[in-house]
Amino acid sequence: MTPLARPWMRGAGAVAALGALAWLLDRHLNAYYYQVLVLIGINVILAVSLNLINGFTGLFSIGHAGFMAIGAYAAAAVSVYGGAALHGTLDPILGAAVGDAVLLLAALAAGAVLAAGAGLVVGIPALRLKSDYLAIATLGFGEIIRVIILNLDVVGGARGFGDIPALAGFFWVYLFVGITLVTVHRMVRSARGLAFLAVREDDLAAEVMGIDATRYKVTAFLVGSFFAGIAGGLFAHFLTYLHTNSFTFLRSIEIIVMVVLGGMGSLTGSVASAALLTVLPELLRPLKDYRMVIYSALLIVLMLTRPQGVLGDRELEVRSWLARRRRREEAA
Amino acid sequence: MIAPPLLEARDCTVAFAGLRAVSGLNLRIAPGEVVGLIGPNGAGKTTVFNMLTGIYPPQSGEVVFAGRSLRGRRPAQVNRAGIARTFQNIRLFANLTAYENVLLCCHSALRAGLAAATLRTAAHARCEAQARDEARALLAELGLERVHEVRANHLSYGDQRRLEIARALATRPRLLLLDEPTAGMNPSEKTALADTVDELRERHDLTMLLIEHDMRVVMGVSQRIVVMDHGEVIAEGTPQQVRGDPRVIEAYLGEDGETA
Amino acid sequence: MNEFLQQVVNGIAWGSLYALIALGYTMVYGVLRLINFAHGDVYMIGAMVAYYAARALLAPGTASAPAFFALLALSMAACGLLGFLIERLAYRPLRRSPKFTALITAIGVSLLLENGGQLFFGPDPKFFPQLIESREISPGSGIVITNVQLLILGVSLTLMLGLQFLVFRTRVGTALRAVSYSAETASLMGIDVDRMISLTFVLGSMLAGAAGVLVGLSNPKIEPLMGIMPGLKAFVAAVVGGIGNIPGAMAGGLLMGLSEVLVVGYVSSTYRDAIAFVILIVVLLVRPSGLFGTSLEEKV
Repeated sequence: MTPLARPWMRGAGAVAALGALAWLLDRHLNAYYYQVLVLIGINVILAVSLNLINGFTGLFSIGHAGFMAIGAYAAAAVSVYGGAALHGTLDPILGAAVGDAVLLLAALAAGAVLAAGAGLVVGIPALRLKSDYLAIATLGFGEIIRVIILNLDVVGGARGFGDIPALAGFFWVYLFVGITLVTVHRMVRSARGLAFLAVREDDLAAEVMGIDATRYKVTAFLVGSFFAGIAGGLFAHFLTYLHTNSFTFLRSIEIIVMVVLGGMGSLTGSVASAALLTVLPELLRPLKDYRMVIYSALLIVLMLTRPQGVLGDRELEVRSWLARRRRREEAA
Repeated sequence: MIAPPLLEARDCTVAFAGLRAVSGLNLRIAPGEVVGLIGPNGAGKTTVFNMLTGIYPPQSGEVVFAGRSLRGRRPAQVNRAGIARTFQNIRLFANLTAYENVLLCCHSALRAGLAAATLRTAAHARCEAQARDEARALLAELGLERVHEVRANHLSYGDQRRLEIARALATRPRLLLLDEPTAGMNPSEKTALADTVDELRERHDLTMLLIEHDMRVVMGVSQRIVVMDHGEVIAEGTPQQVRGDPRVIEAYLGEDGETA
Repeated sequence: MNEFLQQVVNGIAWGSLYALIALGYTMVYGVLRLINFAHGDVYMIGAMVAYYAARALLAPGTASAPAFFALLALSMAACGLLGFLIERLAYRPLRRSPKFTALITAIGVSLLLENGGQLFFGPDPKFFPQLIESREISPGSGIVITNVQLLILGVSLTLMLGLQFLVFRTRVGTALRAVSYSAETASLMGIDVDRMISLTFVLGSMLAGAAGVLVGLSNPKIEPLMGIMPGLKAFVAAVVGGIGNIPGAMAGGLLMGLSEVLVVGYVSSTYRDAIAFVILIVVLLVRPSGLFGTSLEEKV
């Protein structure tokens, strides 16, 4: 057995490699590309977590931005209001870098737990509703969250929430990209996790086959909103300024488009389309005013020509692709 | 001494908007028995299945399974108690493979939950391996080993019906409800399925209730037949007794002329 | 008390606009089970058409009631055509696709109209010409009603009654209702389902266009994104009333308008956009099929 075969060692190796890469990028990548790269990561977390709800479990949620907002504001509040106290106690013992990391993790945890709690509060009653009604209820929920935050003076209200410490960069964002992907992948690709897909395919048949459909729906909401909260917290600590305008209904739509484009039920599809849809508007920037018009036209054309999304619910797998190619070559 | 029934429905009524689909139904099924449920279209047979599986709980009366009342149990709990079924209008998980359809229903093997799956614990690995073996064995039993990796909606009609049975068996039921298992099959497939049903009953120690329109199949497989019409049981007995019962003949001829 | 009555009057006038837009949502949902997200933007186009037509055709200061009705007809016609094209080009090819595909397409059309609007009309607000000079009418006890409010109410009511007549008293309406019960059965009965669906879009869009012109009379600031919020709220109104149900959409619209005006009047204008969604969630939890809707049992 090679040393890297042990799972925890593989994990540690991946984190070390990520750390090294982050160290390089922090120093040598130009600020604009760096920002795009980090935003891709945040969007990947959002798309993958929404895919668990929409793609794998088949619940039409259009309120993902609401969960993200809760995570962002809660995490920001923790680091803005608790940062000084935490740094004061930790820094003399462990140093400022560790203090930063602990503060960020505490902030993200608070945001994620609060978002997951909201997911539970929304999920349990809303799951009695069927497809379209659930969609509308989640939309309404997202809007209510936004209006409430807009009226919360303690997080800046309509002025926006500034002076959030810049704690999250490439390393943290991609660390959580990894954690999100591994978690969701392991959940839905296990034998037990196939129950999510069964609920999507036919929740009544699943129920009759002994699967507690409601439990799986609530779990999907819980885990999905947890990671949306993480994404929000990272977003807050990367941009250092929050405004409710970042969390409108349109933001939820953007995330849904990523999921649908990549394929409902395809994790690699979500990753690819989150990257594409973050980069695309940037590439279209030279077109100025035409940019968003082209973006929306592309969306319509794509739906008309490839309604299952690019990947459907298949995964892009290098290994199986290589195997297929080898088989073809052997056959020839 | 007579063994206590495995399933007993006591004076059960299911109504939709005041219309009685099942009315005052009494049904007793002994352990190991195979009972055929027949009757003209619209007699309420499928509603009986929906009632027994907790989809439409009876508005009055009670269903008792293995000595316990099923009152207030949701379909998933009814299944865990030991009742599984197939659907007349096939309700497989259409975009999952045949193998996945069965695998995800191997509940007794899949005791380790989602958290274990996420953390990849040793218990999870054992459960997963056991479930995979069980699923493969069940598919083989129903002659579906060739189509493991085929999506359920791409299977032939007969294979879909067999997969429905395999999936139901994966939940390790004591009572299996089959809703028109041979519908849409050709005569040789029907005969083969009737044989399979016999084998499965013995191997899995099953009690069965089946709705079936093909009289040859139902008379051949069942030890006892229950005949329904207009939501009520109109006759009950051995295949021979039922075949000659004038009420049964009238119910069929009077409705749509479908004869025994 | 008088202040309260005044708010109610304002709320009804405002709500009748929501009701007009809600009708389009509810009709389309009735026949296609599709949330036509682009509908709110059709309403924006209605306002824009009237604005540009007034600028091009009317000399300043010549505003009059006949001019208003001409513009109203023009906007309705333009929006009807737009609705027809949207259905034909974007939704019809997806009729047999999964639901969310059509929904994303609807969102795409909505974004296209919004972004296209910003491109062609410019993102800055425009001021709708004063077609009707606003006059106050006091029916006593201190309540003030303007002639513009009366006009909005009158036009909305007329259009809604017209729609009600069309749907429930004519052959075409019977066919429309048949399609919304079951498109398949309707087509077997010889009803041209495609034409009925087109008609639904045309009618719904015409009502949204009318709402666009009417809103220009009372809130003259118009801009390309003006359709988003009213669109969402009108949709909420349709759901609250029981989606697919025409009288329900009217009642839902009035409820939205009233509650919004009352929240602004008695609570805070910052909660204005939340009340619609709070009502929505309460209604969905208590009576998921809406106030006037009928629930359908799933067939097993």
